[in-house]
Amino acid sequence: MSAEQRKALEAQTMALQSVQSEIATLVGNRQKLESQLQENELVDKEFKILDDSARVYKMIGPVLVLQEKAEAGANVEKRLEFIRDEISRADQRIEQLTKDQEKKSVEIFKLQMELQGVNKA
Amino acid sequence: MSSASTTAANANNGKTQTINLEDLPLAQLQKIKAQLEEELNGLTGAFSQMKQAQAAFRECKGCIDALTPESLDKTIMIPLTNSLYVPGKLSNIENVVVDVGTGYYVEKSKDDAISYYDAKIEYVQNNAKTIQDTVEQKQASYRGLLEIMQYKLTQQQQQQKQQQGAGKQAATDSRA
Repeated sequence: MSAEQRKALEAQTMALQSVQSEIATLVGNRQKLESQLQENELVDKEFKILDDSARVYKMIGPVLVLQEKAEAGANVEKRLEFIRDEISRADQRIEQLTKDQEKKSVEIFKLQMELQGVNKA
Repeated sequence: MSSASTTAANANNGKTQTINLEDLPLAQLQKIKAQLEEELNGLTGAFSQMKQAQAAFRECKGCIDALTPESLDKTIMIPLTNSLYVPGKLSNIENVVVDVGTGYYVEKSKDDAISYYDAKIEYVQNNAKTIQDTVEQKQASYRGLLEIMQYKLTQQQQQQKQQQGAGKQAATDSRA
């Protein structure tokens, strides 16, 4: 009986660890997204205060290519929207996984208590 | 038991909870100490990055200032690769192309570029100040934590001595 419980405990602990490492990866990704968001916001602000006559270049490989200011501005805004969507998706996933992690911790705790109870009896 | 509840507590890292440090056992305090140390390291790293960024922007400003009317038509070396340069002539001393981020570059007049860099330097300075304030706060918490841990440690040691003393007392009593 206690061997089964031990196996269940091990399985749950491994599951918990994998959830935890997934959360850590997601949090790291989210931070990267956050810094990308800030960078793009700076560029967006910069474009907004530019004259229409100012020349905007985009770096494609080693080449600076002249772009239309309007096009570049629109590009950056689209990117911003995309990043914001990604961030909210990542947040949702992180929330989901955190709840999952808590559930698993509680189950592990219960199993541990049961195991100790069986050993005492 | 403590492992399960600590894992749950770590998952709540994003939410701020006011916990009375004095109520926590030594093991918990050690975990918090390790966490604070990690945070402090991260923050000091970010702070030095800010300082480096500031220095880079100042250097950019210095380069722009070097574009004087006298430098028009002066020979300059243009890098084609890391180790290959070609000589060229400085033809435009009015405009510069500034990296604004995410692969975009904007042509600006010298004055606009200088004000751009000034704004960047101020922005980075503000961020650095915020980081510094946070670092000071965390260092204060860290010092407080260390004091509480020291207090608990001495308490623990005293308790152990008392138990040992009581054990000896019981032994001598049973012999007598």
